[in-house]
Amino acid sequence: MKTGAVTGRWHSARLLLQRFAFVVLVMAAFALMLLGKADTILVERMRGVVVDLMTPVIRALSQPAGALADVADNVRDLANLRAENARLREENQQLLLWRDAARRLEAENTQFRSLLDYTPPPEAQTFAIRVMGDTGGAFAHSLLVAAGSKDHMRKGMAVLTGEGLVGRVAQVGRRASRVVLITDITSRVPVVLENTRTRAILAGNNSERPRLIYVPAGARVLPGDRVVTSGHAGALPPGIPVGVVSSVDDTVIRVQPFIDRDRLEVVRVVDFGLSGILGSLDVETRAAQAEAMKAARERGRNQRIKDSQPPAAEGAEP
Amino acid sequence: MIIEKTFRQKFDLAVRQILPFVTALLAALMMATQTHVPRLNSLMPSLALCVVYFWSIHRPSLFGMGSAFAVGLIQDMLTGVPLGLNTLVLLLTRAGVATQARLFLGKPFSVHWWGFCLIALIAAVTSWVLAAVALGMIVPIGQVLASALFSALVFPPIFWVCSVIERRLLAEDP
Repeated sequence: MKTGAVTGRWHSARLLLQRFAFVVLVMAAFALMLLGKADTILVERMRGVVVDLMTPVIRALSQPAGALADVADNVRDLANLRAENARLREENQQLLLWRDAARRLEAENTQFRSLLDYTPPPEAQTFAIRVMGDTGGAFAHSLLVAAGSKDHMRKGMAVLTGEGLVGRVAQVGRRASRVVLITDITSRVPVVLENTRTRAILAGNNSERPRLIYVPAGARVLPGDRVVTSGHAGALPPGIPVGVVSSVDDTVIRVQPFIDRDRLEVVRVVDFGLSGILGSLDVETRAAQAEAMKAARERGRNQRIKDSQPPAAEGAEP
Repeated sequence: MIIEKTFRQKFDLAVRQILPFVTALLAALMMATQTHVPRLNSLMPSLALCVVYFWSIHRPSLFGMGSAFAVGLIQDMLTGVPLGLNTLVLLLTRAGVATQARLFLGKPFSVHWWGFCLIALIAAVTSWVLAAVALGMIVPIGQVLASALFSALVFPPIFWVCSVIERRLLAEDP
C-alpha cells in the first residue's frame, strides 16, 4: 500500500516535471528566435561550430547520392556521346574565333593602358572548394563547402562557378563554411542589365528564379537581357555574370540564374579584396570604421568652426 | 568476466536509449546532403519530422522533448533558417503526437499515414508563419506546402525503416 503511494507520487512528480520541461523548452525556442535576431555574432559562431561538427557526417551521407548521380551522368553522357561531340566541335570553332578576337583586344587594351598610365586593380585570389551539402528546403537556399577559416575563408567572399555567381560566404567554421545562394530570400545583389546599364537589385525569394527590384521607372527590360553584378556597395566587383531575364510582366521581373544548383560540385571562392557592405564586416572592422567616421566628423566640425570665424586682420595680434 | 558482461549490458542499454535520437539526427543531416536530383533540394521533405513523429508514437520514453529540441536546434544551426524554427516545430510535434499516441498504437499503417499528413500540414503552416515573423518576409507558401506533400510521400519508407529498427534493436524496453 505504502509502495503504491510512493509510486503514485513519483509518477505525478515525473508528469509535472515533463509538463514543466515542455514549457521551459518552448520558452527556450522563442528565446533562441530572439537571440538569432539580437546577437548575430554569437549565433554565427554557434552555427560555425555546428557546421564544423556535422559536415564530416554530411559528407559521408552524401557519398551514395553522389555515386548514384555519377552513374546516371555517365549513362546519360554515353547516350549523348555522338551529339555532344558534334556540339563541341562546333563550339570549338566558335571559340577559336573568339580567341583571336580576345588576343586582338588584349593587345589593344595593353596599348591603351600604357598610353593612359593605368594602374590595374590587384588580381583576385581564387581557390576551388568542394561542395559537401545543400541545406535545402523551402526556407533557406545555401550550400555547405569544405573550407573554413583555416583555409583563409572569410565572411562575404564571392562564390562563383565558370557559369556565374553562386552566392556569398555567410558563415565560416574552422573546416567548413556555409554559402548563401543568390536565390535565398535574404540575398540582395546589386546588378546591372548588361546592354542598357539599367541598375537594379537581384532579390532572392527562395524560388529558382529570383526577382529584380528597384528597377528605375521607365526602364526597358526584355526577356533574354543579361544580368551582371554592378559592383555597387563594394560587395562584389562589377561584371560577374548572374543570369538572364526570363520573364517580364507588369509587377515582377524574374531572372534565371546561370548556375545549376543541382549540379554544383566544385565552386570557386574569390577574394577580390573588397571591404564589402557593413553587414558583412567583423566587429573589429566595424569598430575601426566607426572610429574613422567619428574622427572625420570631428575634423569636419572643426573645419566648419574655423570657416565660420572671421579672418584675422593682417598683422593683428593673435 | 562478470564485469565485462555488466559493461556490455550497460553499453547495450545506452545504445538502445540513444538510438531514436541518432536516427532523428541522421534524418536531419540527410536533409542537408546533395541529392543531385533537379529541384529536389528546394522542396526537400522533412525527414526529421517523419522520424520524430514515429518515435513520439512508438517510443516516447526513449525520445523525449529534449531530444526533439536538440535535433531541431542542430537542424536550424546547419541550414541557416531562423534560429528556433525547426526547434519549435519538432518540439511541438513531439509533445502533440505523444499525447495522442493511443489513437495510433495498434492501428493499421493507413491511420499512421493520415495522421502524419495532418501533422506535416500543420507543421508546414506553423513553420511558414514563424519564418515570416522571424525573417520579416513572406516565403512562397507553395514551396512549403509542396515540401509537406513530399514529406507525406516519403513517410512510408521511413516508417518501415524505423519499424525495423524498433523491432530488431528495441525489442525489449530498457
